[in-house]
Amino acid sequence: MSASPPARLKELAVAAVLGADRSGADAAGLLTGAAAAALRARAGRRMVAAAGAPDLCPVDPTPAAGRAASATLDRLLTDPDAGLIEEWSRLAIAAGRRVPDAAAPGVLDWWSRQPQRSAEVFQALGARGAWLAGLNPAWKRPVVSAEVPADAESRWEVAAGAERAALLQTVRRADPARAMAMVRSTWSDDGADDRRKFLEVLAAAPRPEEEAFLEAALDDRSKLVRREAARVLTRLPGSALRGRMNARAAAIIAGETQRKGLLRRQVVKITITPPQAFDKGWERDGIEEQVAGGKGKRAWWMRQILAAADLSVWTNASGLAPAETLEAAREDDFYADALLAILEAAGVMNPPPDLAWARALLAEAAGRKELAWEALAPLWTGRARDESEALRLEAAGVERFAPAARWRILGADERPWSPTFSGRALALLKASAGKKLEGWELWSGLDQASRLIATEAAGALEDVVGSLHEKDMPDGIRKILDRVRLRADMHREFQA
Amino acid sequence: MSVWTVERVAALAPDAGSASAGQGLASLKKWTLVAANAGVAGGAGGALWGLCQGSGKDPYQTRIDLAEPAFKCSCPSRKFPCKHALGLMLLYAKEPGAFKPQAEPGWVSEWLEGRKEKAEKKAEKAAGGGAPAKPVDEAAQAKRAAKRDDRVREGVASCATWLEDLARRGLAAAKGDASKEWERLAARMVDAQAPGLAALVRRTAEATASGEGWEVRTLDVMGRLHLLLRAAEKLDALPVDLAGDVRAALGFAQSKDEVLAGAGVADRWAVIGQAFEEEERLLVRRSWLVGACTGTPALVLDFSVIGAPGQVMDPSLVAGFEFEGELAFYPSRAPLRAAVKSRGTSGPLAAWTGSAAAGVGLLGYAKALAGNPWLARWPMVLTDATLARRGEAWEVVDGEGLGVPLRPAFVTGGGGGGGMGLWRLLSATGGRAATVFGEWDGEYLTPLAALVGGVYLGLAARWAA
Repeated sequence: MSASPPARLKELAVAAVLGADRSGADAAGLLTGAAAAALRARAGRRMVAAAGAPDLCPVDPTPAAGRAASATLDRLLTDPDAGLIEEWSRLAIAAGRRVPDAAAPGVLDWWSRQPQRSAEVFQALGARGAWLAGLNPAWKRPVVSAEVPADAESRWEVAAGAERAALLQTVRRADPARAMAMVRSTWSDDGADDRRKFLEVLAAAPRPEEEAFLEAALDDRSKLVRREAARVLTRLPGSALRGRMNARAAAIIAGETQRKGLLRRQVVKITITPPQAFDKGWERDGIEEQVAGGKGKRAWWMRQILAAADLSVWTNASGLAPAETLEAAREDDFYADALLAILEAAGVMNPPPDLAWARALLAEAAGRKELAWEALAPLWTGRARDESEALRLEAAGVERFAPAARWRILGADERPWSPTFSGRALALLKASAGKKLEGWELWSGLDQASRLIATEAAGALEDVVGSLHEKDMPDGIRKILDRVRLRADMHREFQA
Repeated sequence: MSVWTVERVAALAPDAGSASAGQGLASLKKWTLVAANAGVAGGAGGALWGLCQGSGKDPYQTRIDLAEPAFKCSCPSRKFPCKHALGLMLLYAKEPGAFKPQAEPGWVSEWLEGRKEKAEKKAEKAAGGGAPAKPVDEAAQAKRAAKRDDRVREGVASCATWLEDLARRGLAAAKGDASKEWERLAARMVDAQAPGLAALVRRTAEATASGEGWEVRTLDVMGRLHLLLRAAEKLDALPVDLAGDVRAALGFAQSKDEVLAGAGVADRWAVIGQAFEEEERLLVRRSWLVGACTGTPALVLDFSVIGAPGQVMDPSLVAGFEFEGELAFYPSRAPLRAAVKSRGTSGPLAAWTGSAAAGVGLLGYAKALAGNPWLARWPMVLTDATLARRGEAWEVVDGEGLGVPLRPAFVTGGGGGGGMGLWRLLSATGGRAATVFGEWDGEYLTPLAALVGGVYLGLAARWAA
């Protein structure tokens, strides 16, 4: 028997496939031979010279999260909730910690499958994250990262739409001029959808040196791109487009001083006169001629102009403060349309209008029953957190709003609540609730609150909800409260 | 610091649902009281207790004796340990500082006293020999054994006929849709009380459908089956140890009490890893042990019926721990399977010298195979081990640059926390050297755990994903 045991087993297997009868072997002998050869092959297995080892992972000087925080992360991964894992990552980064090595593959695997891959989660993975992602093709890297890749220009030329938009965002954060050069380099060949996406990236914070490019884009061959360019220019302080809009608005609004009453007191009155005809030149600035709903055309043109104009146009016409300016216009037939446009303008203006305007608009909208709470949302859009919180507290306190609307208003900003705001919001909710939490609107408000509330106020939230549901707390609410507790634990675990 | 890490506590959960519920209760807010007695400060022993407000009027009273560990809870759950016990212990693992030493309240001290008394009685009984609680009807036992032997003999004969017939007709003929016929045969072997034969018949059927190289794999299993049938035919003439191997391979349940009555092997036994596998409706746990002084490998099997409440596997065998004690080995030419006869102090496995691993590895496997050709798996310890890649496949490489291939299922993973074996091992080491513990099946290594910088990392999936 000269063949090695594995070779011998193979020979016998050929005979076995045919069958002992046809291959002229003895069945029992074939089986005995197979048993012996297989056994010899197994016993004779030796270790072999190794294959290529991957590069070592660079040493990460950041210490891993502590025992309790790591256990919480493991728990989060058994039933992943994107918000909580992202919050864990932010806390870890702030505390100078990272994901422990044993949990890194689980986090990376979960993160790679997310439609929105938060850069913070990847950052919290530390050096291990990039190293592991390089070894497993199923795992991804962050789309928007803090560091500009060295080969940004060549990747820009070959990558697909979404990746290019992310790359643009990354480069623009570090070097806006380089980002602009990238956009220009391929602009004439890019599809309309890509061109619109790139402009969207600029919309977050347009820069004066980009205005010429954006102005040119107002004449783009695609309507989608033209509309987006107009929107970006509306957000650029002092842009020529805003100037044109202000001039058009000034033609609509007129203030005049009247003498009224027995004492012939001087009273300012604002009259609103929508345009009589559509100026074809307006189209270039994103104003639509055709009206979508059954609205009057003139009111529709007016609304678009006023929504893109500065609020100072109004105070200039009246010579009064914002609250008095609104009062001066209130009697006009077109006031309801104008108010909606002003609210819209408040959300588009960059920087947002001063607090006096926001407060005046809030007070005005509070008194108008036809306006749902959503109409107030532009008032806190784009503001510093403390301003947004103050305005939301005021809005949530508007008497005509139902409890569900209050919860939604308080949760209508994605930033975490400050401890003071958390306390005040809960006091407000407690005072105005008075009955069980029922219906999806209330639950979704509570759900949002449970994600945003300062963890110092976690106990207070439990008390408020607990007092409404002393006996019969639904499982859904219990789960929401569990989340608040988990968040409180998480914050505590990173402080220790 | 407590030897109870979160990972070790989680391994005590009877199922995935309990593990997750336990995690939810591992928060101070869920407990109106948590405390420990003075024994906890000493290290491995001591007792914990806590009060947890459930849906009932009175809070549940949860007690844990860390020495074993043992659990007791006033909740009505039939799971063991229940979620409250798991939650309390997890909380202890996370935040031992929250458990302030206190005098035991009555409901804790009574339970601990009761446990002590029971342990003493048991020790007395063991020392004094004592009369067995029930007189054994030896005649009836012999009759049952004889009846079983007859049935197995019949099964062996019919299986041998089938196997030789298969070898005569050829595997090509059998490869078609013979699975039903084979399943019938496997079922007949179960009826004949030879589940080991049934398993080999099923594996033959699986091998015919295993793709490229199927004929070699099929013949391999057939050879193994043939060898077993030949040995079973002359079971009575075989020496006791070899007969033990044949009986085990046939699937006879062997009496643990008999084994425990025999001599024990004393050592400091390290539980290097645990693997879990579902067989029929049974969850099988394989605990691999290696004697730190002698390098002797051992395998302790535990079983629990899936879905049956109240069933718990011996919680004292914790992966990553070692204990002073005695193991009693089942009769075999290459003794491997064992039962824990006695155990003394235990502690976490923190280091591996490597010198004691003489019995494990490929050489030890070859020697054991010479004694017991039906040996299915063997423990392996690789010190200074790193991971390397060969195409899509991965290998574990020892300190001398020699490697063994990893089981493909370990590399690809099956989703869930346990399916990421390779990646968890890579992440824990960062590509640097570590000690790797695993199961060798003659073809592939399945890593079960690793020691990375003195930290024990379990890699096996606890529950099927």
